Order: sequence, then structure tokens, then C-alpha cells
Amino acid sequence: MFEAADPPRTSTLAFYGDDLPGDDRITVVGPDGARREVDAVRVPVGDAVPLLSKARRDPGAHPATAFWGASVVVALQLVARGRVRPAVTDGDLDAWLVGPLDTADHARIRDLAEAMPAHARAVPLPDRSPAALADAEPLVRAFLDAVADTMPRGAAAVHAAGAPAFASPEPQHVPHLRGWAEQGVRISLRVEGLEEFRAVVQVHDLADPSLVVDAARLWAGASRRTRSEATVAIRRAARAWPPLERLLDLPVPDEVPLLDSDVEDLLRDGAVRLAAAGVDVHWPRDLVRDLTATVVLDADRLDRPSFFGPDQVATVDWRLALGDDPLTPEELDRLAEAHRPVVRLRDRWTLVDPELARRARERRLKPVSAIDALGAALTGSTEIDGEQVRVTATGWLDEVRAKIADLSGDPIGPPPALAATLRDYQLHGLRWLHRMTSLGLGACLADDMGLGKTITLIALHLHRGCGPTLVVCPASLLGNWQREIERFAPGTPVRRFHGPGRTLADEGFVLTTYGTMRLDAERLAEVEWDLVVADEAQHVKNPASDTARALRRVPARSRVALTGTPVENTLSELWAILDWTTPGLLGTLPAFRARWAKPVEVDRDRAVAARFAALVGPFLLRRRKSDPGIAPELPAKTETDRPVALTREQAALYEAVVRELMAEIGDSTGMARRGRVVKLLTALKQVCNHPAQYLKESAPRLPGRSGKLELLDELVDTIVAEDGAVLVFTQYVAMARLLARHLSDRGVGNRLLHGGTPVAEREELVRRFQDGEVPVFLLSLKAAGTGLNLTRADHVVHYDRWWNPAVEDQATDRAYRIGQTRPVQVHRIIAEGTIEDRIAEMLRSKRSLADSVLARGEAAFTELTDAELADLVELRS
Amino acid sequence: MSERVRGFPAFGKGARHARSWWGRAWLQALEDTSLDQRVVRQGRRYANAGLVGTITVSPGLLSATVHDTDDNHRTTVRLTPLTDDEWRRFLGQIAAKTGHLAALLDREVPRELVDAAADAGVPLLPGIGDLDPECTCPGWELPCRHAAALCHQVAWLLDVDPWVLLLLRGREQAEVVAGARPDGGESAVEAFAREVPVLPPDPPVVDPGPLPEFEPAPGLDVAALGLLVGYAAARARAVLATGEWPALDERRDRVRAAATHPGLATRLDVDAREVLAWRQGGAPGLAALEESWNPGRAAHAAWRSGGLPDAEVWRNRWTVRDRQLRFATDGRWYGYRRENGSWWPAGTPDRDPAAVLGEL
Repeated sequence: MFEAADPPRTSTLAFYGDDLPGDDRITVVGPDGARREVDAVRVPVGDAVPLLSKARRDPGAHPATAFWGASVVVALQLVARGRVRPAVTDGDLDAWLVGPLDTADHARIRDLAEAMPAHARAVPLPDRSPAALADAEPLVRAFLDAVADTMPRGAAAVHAAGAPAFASPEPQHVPHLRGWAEQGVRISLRVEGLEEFRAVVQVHDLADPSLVVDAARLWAGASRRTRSEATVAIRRAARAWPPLERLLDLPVPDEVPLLDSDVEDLLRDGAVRLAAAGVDVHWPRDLVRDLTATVVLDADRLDRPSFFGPDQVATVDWRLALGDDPLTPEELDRLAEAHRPVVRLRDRWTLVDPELARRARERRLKPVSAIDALGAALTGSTEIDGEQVRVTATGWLDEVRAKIADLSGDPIGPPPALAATLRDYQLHGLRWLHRMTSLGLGACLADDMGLGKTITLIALHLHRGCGPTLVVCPASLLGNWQREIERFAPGTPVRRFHGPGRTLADEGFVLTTYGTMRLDAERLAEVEWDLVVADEAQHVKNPASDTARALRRVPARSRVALTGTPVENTLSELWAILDWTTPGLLGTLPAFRARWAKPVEVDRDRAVAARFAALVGPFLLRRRKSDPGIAPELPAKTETDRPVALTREQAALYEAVVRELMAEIGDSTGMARRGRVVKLLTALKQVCNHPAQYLKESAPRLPGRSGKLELLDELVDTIVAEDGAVLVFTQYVAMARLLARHLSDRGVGNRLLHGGTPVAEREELVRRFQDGEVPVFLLSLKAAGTGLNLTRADHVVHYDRWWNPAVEDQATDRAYRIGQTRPVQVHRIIAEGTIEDRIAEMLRSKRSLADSVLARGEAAFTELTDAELADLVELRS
Repeated sequence: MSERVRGFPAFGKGARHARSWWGRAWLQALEDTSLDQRVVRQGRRYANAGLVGTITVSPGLLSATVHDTDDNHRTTVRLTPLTDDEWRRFLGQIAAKTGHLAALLDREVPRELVDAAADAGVPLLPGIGDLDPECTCPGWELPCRHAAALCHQVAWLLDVDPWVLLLLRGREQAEVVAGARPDGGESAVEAFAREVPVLPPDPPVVDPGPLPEFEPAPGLDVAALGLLVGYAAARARAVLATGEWPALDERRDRVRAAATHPGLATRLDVDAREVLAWRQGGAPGLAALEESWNPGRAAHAAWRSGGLPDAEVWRNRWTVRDRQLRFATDGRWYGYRRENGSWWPAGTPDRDPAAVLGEL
């Protein structure tokens, strides 16, 4: 007979028998249920261990003795494995208990308890009539603990441990160690059954999460404190999920039957609420739970290229599948008719979320617009009733998706009419633009400046071959467009729709500015454009602006946006651009903000960011100069003439200067004439630079008065956005100062180096630029002496012309020299129709004058006749 | 059994109200008991003024010192504790539904529990006349304002800790939790009648795992506790293997521990020779160091037949110059060597004295 005590090591075994005299009297129950007093010997459990372990080997031992002998072996095996743990008993005493126990241990203890003969527990429970015996399993566990508690307490244990707690056989009062010895418990629910469900409460030890015990077992054994904690945990779980309240009506909160509606509720959001309360739900292992619903999108093909117009719709259907295998219509019907949260599918019980059953009933959803369907196909998911659902595109929609994803389909070559060789990445860009525009989808090409967006677009125009292309760009870029079209697509009509008396054409290229487009959107809308291009499309990033709204009013078969700034970093800008090129793709602005911009930019939700990237990725092509695939294709140095138009003020000043000074020149000869010619040239160059420079204004207003300055702003903005650096050369210190002030006013960091800069300061300025402190370095030629190393610059701007290209090259070499790792782009700004333009043309065609200019600089012009001179300086349009 | 007394700091100055239904029921009992509601209100003012000292709660008795303008008064309120039989029935009511104990542990009193207890004839909350006040003040109202003040304070206490009421009725939280469990058990007749399966086979002997590592705890050498687990494991393996209980007295166990865990040697206060002797031969080795006895002829014969050199023999010790062999009770010879004037265990014990002497 085992009699448990607190602490466990003070438990005793009472031996009694006919031939056993004893000092103690104990009450036992017999098979008839009658109580009787017998003589017995009480032995402390520690002393009983060797006796019992011997009894285990004795075939003649009494069954009760043999049983406790077997229990001793189980206890010793646990101890021999080191499976004992310190604990604080309900009486606040120190105790070693068996544990942690694994599943096999629990099973072994259960089996042992099953085999306990009534004689081994024949002491009747107090106050019970008819007589009752203690439950076997708690008794076995208490016995195991009692044995475990004696074992570590050797004679020298107190000495070894340095203190009596957990070492001395004497009970030690250690309430303060409870927190150390116990970590608390948490509960989980195990759902069982298929025909009828029930939730079984399991209790987990927080100290060892692998230790799980059913509440039923816990209530039979375990400490008061563990039970208290489990009780409170169950009450909290019942608050999270009310069907568990029925547990609280039970004496032992072991399990509750679950109604089908409970299971449905658990599937719907009960499990989520329980999880939030720290309660996991475990489903039966043989219950199939991988029934999933995805959305299938399909759309019929239309012949028109604008099949992503608002009229075109896609059908939306639910597809339910077990694993990857779609359900048959019969199975769907069975699912639809299911009235229970489990359905027999393919010979297995399958757990059915009520939401899934509803989807099986309402298989067809409201059709969506084709563009929405494409967006869903690209992201692979869509939102239905506030929930992200996986999407599969089929049929033609899937073809479109695949085409967008893979350009290798029908590779087109460069158009024969293109008078240039496209680099590989430019050809890729052309194919991409062709693919997107031929699908009527529009696109945004956002390559770095200098990668040849213009030539790619010209190639696209030539490839499409048909109707007119409208290019909308900043005024400062009109000249560049015209020149590049004339150069790379010779014979293609190009017309500027700009300035007074402007007229339209319905073939070739029409170039216009954002300003003109805003004023004349109605006229532009009358033309049936094949392609509308918005260059430097960041100019329409504010969708509420008049410019952006006017742009939207110009219809086109396809739309392409070009930009050199990384729009993908500012989602609202990206929306503005893509909503123009591909209306509807990103939804309305408020919807876009809620669905994409906020989760991506504010919440930093990675899953949403990944879906967003999948959605916009196909519509946005951005290559960096530094990309591994691009850099090798770029020449180390690219030189571009950047023609700009004079402003009206500049043109008027220019003509006035020509009139006035040509008259003076005509009246003079010899040295005086030479001096006046030089004066004329200087004056004209200053007018081209900026009226304020020519007029020597003391505190001039700078913006909006010079075509060159406008272009410089465009270039600098792009370079700064690309995180690049630029050297700006001008012959005139005065102009350099104006530029410095202007850039500073616009918040662009810059440094100015000129002939008057002390040598010591020069080095400091160079260092600051090289260290990346400022993106713009302004230089006058005289300052560009030897020893200047400005290799951080990847752009060089010649704000005004040096007549001698060798001098320009020398200046350019400040950036392009040993140590430069990036390709350098040289931009030569040239005022159109002016003497600058004329001389640049001369230099290109290497006429005789060019040679003398090369040889003698401006003095060469003094030799020209009045008529020749007039021809040179005359302002042409 | 712990002493069923708890002290609670009283609530300080500030207007309060009983918020819980049981707190209000408690006050209702006070008001019903009182003949003069003015005194009850006075008591509340005293309670609000923070004039009540530390409140002591024990079965059947509340007491506190209440400060008044003239003097401090010792005030008590008595409430009859439940009898053991009433407690048995009440615990039965608690145990009937897990929710009852869960609510109490969450510091709420379920009305249903109180109603069920009342139906079983167990009054948990006091009713009219149940609160029996007594005070050292000269006033003759019953209750006096001091007792009323105490009752108000206790009502607030009950709001946050209903276990105070159960303690007042006679049991501590721990006792209630322990008592409020389903009876379990199995009818003796059925238990005897039931056929039990044969005993399961003994569990396999498994290699010991790594010793457990415990989190640090105040006042405990947790590393040493780990060693105790290791010791217990070794001991359990010995019992499993031999059925013997290798019991040692305290001193020998110290030697054993020091020999097993050299890091503990200083703490264990043992002699270096003893440790060596234990390492040489365990308990018999230690005996060879400490004890001498008269072995039988067999030992002498063994020495002689081994062709060993002549030795100076005293009891079980054969000495050859600075070497010595001790014949121990386990029938083996233990080698010793003289260093610095004392004999030190050396070599490996063996049944063959020649082998031991040879090793020395």
C-alpha cells in the first residue's frame, strides 16, 4: 500500500499480510467492500526501494508488492535517465519530481496504472460510502515522484549543494523558489471525431512546450497550482471563444462536444480568436484540410487592340481544389449541398470552411474589367470580400500574362528605316515597348539619362510605321527631339506644334511642349494619334494639374511615358504615370493609396510590396547605367549636342544686338571693326546664355528667361535623381555666378571654381565635390588648369561653346580620365538658330572656316565680310 | 498547514465605493445589522478618511486599529466560520463546475455558486445580524463607527480579493483549491472485481542523457543541483543493475562526491588521500586506507606463493621499503607508496599481489 505525503519523499509504503506482524494499524478494504483494521509495517519510501526492486524479481511476490516493484523500476529508469526536476510542492516544500516526461513515458505510466491491482491501493478514501479506492494513475505518479524525491539526496548532498534545499531529506520551506521551479501552463484544444466533433483540452508546460497532458489526466494528478493555472486559462479561452463556456460547467474541464455550427465558427474565425488568446487548435490528422479556393479569370479575345478598354470584361469563377487537383462538378455539387463542416470527398473526410461551401454554391462572381483581371493575373491574387485570394488566369488572359512576362515570343529586329545601330538593351527596350503597345497596354520607359530613350522611341515609331506620333516634352527638349529624329529617322516628317501660328500634321512626329498641350488639348485631341509620348513624364506627376488632365484628354491607340527619374520610389508619381499609360491598372487614386501605397510605404508590408512589384513590373522598364548588363555596352564617353530654343526675350535681345552692332560694324574698319566683331560675338553668346548676363542685371530674376537654363535644370534634376554628379563649364565667371545662385535657390548643392579662386581653396572645393558633398561643380575654363581631378562626375555640361573642340575635350577630360569608373556623358547646350548653332554645324561639316576657327579662335571671324558675318549671326527659326 | 491569518494594508484616504455585487452584499449586511444608519455613514467617512489601520483577517475574525480624534481603538468584527461539514458541501459546489473555481481564481464570485451553496445550506455571504462587531471605544452603538469603518474597508478589499471572504469563513485559497476537486476514486468492490492486465514489461535501460541545466535561483547552487541529478542517476542505475542500495554514511559520501566532482572538493572538506583511495577502489578502497584487520591464511599464502620479496607484515599490510600492499575485504590487494611520511594509495588494486607490487 502506498500512502502519498508532502513532500513526496516522506511518503510511506505499508506492508501487511497474514504472517506479517506490525507496529502500525491501518484500515484497508477487502473485495467485499468492507473496511477492516490490520497490522502493518510502515516503511519510508526510500527504504522500500531496494526491497521492492528485489520483489520485482521474485516470482512468488504478492501481486501488490510485485506491482510496486514494477513501479520502482519505472521510477528508477526515469531517474537513471536524469528525468527529475526540482519543484515546490503545494505545501511550499522542496521536492524532486519525475519529469520532463516524453510520450513513451506517459504511455508507460498509463499502462502501469492499468495493471495496478486493487490490493495495491486498498486504503479506502475518507468519508466515502460505499468504500472507494483512489484512482490508480494519480497514485502511480505520486509514487514515482516519491521515489524520485529520495534519490538525489545522498548523505553528502547538503555539503555538495552548499545548502539543504533539494539536497537534505528534511523538508525545506522554499516558497520563494516557486517562480524558479514553475513556468506556468498554457492550454490548447485538440479537435477529435469526424461524425461528431469534440474539443479535448490539453495542457502544456510552458517550461517544456513538448510536454502535453490532457486536462482529464491533469485533474487526476498534478499540483493544485498547475490545476489553478489551467482553470484560469480555460476560462480565458472561453471568453475568446464562447462554445468553450460549457467546459466551465463541468467538474473536470476535459472536453466538450462541438456542434457542427461550433466547428464552422471555429473554422471561420474562432481559431484565430483562440490563437490571439494563446490557445492553439489541433485538427485530427486524418482530416483532409487542404481544400482551397482560387479565383479563375478568363476573358474573350477582341480583335481591336484596345481590348483593355472599359467595355471589355473578364469572367471570374471560383475554383475549388483538393491540393492541386480541381474538384469535379459533381464534387462541387456535393460540397455545395453540404450541411456539415466535413464532407466526404474522394473517400476521405474533408474539412470544409463554410466560406468554401458558399463559394462552391456561388461559383460565378461578378465580372471585372479586363484591366482589373490582368492586374489580378499579374499579382497572382485579388481581394474578395476583404480577403486575399489566389488567382489563376486562363485562356486568352493567361496568354497575355505570359506574353508580358516573356518577351522572347516573336523577337522583332530594328526597323530598316532607322539610321543607327541599336545597342542590345535598346533593342530589348524596343521589343518591350512594341509588346506592351501592341497589346494596347502602354508602358513607362524609365532608363537612366544617356541610355537612349529617344532613339528607342524613334525606333518604336518606325516599327509601328503607321499613324502619327505626338511627343509632349519640356520646351527645352524640343530641339533635341527634332535633331535626333532627323538624324536617326531621316525622311520622317517632324513638326513642332509650338509657338504662334502652330499647325498640326497627321503623319510622322509632332513635337509639342506641356504648356502648349495644356492650351491646345482640344485641337490635339482631334488627331487620331497612333502613339502619344510623354517625355520627362515626371512633369505630369501631379494628376490634379491642368497639364496632367489635358494630357489625359488626348486620345491615342497607345501611350508611352519616358522618364529618367526613378519614379518607382514615389508611388503616387508612379500611379500618375501608369494611370495615364495604362488607365485602370492601378485603380483610382484613393483605392491605390489604400490598397498599395499605404501598405507598401507606411506599413512596410513585404507581401504587399511583392505583389505590387509583380503588378507594375511589366509596365515599367528601368535600366541603370551601372547595371551589369548595360555598362559594358556603353561607350566610355558619349557626346550629345543639346539644342535649345531662345526664349522670346532672348530672341528679341538677340535680334536687337545683331541690328545695332552690325550697323556699327558696317560703319567701321580696321582695328575698330575687329573690336566690334568680337564685341558682337561676345554679346550674342551672352544673350544665348541668359539675358541677365548680357544686361548685367544686379539682382536678376533667372527662371523662365533662358532656354539654356531651363535645359540645365532638366539635366541637373535628372542627374541628381540618378545620384550622379555633373561638371558645368562656362566661359564666363559672371554666368557661373548666376548659375551658382540659381542652383542654390533651387536647393541644388554646388561649388564654383574660377580663375580667381585661391589655390588652397581650389583643393578644398575639389575634395568636397569628389567626396560627394555637392552634385554640381561649376567651372570657368580659365580655372580648368592641370592637376584637377574631378572623376566623380559622370556628366559634363558645356553651358556655352568653346569654338575649339580641343579645348572642350580638355575640359571634359577633368571628368573622363584615369580613375573614372562610370561612362561619362557630355552635353553641349546650343542655342538653336543662333551663331552657336551655325558654328557647331560648321565644326561638324569641317568647312574651311572651321579650320581657321580652330586655328585662330574668334579672331577668325573678324576676317569675314559684312555679308558673311550677317549670314553667320542672323537668327533663324 | 499554514496559519490562516492574513494582513492587508488598509485603503488610504479617498472616497471609494464597493463595486462588486458581493462587496455590496457585504455592506448590505452591515446596513441591515445596524440600528442607526448615521453610524454606518460615519463609518464610511472614517474609512474614506483612511483612519483604518492594517486589517487582519483570520477565520471568523476581522480586526484593525481605527484612529479617532480622541484615541486609537481596537475593533473586531466576527463572522461565524463554516463548519467542516459546511465546507465539504461548499467545496463540492465549487468542484461541480470548473467555472466556479476559475471565476474565484480570477477574483470574481459567481452568483450561481453563492446561490447553489445557499441551496445546500451553506451561507457564504453574511446576512442580517451575521456581522458581530466589538470595539474598545466607549460608544455603545452596534456597530460603532469604527466597526462600520472596518466593514467598509473590508467591502473594498472584497472587491479586489474575494478570497478574503473565504478566509473569514475558515479556509485559505490553497485549501479551497486543493479541496475543490472532483472526488475521483473508484468503488472498492468494482476495483477488486475488475481483472487487471499483467504488469507491463520493465522499461529498457537507457543511457543517461546530459545532466539538466537549471536557471539560476536565489540561494541555490544550481550547478551542484545538476550534479545531484547525476548522482541520483548513477545510484538508480546501480539499483537497477544489482538491486543493491549503495548507502554511504555522510563522510564517505563526501569522499565519493569529491572524488567524482573535483570542483567540489574544498566545499566537501575531505582529505586528499581519501579522495585518492576512493578513486583507487571506491568504498573498499577507502576502507583499505582507513581500516586494518587480520586477514586469513589465504592472504599470507598468496604472498608467499607469488615469490614476492620478504615483507614486514602488520595485520593486513605488507610493507617492502617504501611500498605497501593492503589486503582488503573484497579480496583484492591495494597498493600504497610512502611519501612525506605517510602512505598514499597508488596503482590499480588486483587479486594478484605480484601484479600490484610490480606496478608500484
